[in-house]
Amino acid sequence: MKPLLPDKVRVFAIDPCPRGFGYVVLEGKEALVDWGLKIPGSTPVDKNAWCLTQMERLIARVRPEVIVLENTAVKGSRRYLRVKKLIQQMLALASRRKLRTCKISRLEMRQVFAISGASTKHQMACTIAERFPEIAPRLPRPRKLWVGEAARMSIFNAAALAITYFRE
Amino acid sequence: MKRITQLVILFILMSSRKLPNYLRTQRKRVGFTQDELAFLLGCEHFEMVCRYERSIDLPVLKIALAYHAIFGTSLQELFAGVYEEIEQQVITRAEELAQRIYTDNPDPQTARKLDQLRAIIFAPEIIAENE
Repeated sequence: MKPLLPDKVRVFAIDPCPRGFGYVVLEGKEALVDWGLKIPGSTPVDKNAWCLTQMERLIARVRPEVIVLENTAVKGSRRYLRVKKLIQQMLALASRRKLRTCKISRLEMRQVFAISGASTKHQMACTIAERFPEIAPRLPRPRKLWVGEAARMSIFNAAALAITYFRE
Repeated sequence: MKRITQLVILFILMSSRKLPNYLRTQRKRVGFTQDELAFLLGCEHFEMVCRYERSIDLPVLKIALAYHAIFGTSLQELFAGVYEEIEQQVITRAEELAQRIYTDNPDPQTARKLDQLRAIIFAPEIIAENE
């Protein structure tokens, strides 16, 4: 398969969340091709295995050239062990499919979005919603400290990963 | 016939660099459900929309034109991957036909045909340069 031009690379960014994962597909830094949330209808026995099955289906559908995931190996990463393991499994799956992978830390994402003045997750999500109005309806309200993060935020986290990939 | 269509789509999926279609992208941009889009397209069931988006089936001309009418996007952009492959096949056949009919002193009709064939063969390069 002929690869897309470097600025038109199809990137598949995934952000696992407690219930499933959010994803975004960008073709180049300006074209949002697909986005969504994969959450099982009922809690599966093996959440990670379910997520990997969904990821395989998405890979078959969108045929990405690069998979972008969060780098949880850096010091200070506060991800749960299950999510860290899931990310490793996703990287292994991408390797088996002979896809390029890229790991991006939260610090790198913050540095990229600091240019537009966004420091918190919600501010970053607002910046992304302005850039891609089609996902703006999914933007959650700013959350209170005692309320858990909305699952939809993982779509914006995935978009942040993809945007950071193109800035590198 | 259906099996042949599926084989053609599979071939396109394997060799094109663009996605076969961007129907799902367009639908999600607007926010239509598959059911709502099926109604707009005049399809009996949302399953057909799902099959088109997943490139299991290619829509017939009437449905393809309905997609264009709904989203205002050209068929070339909606079915980018499919278009790329078909364009490449047409270019290959145009090159073959040009070789077949070429003469040193073509009559006016043959000259017009050769001009058109050259336009087909070189059009993608010209478009790429302008972009």
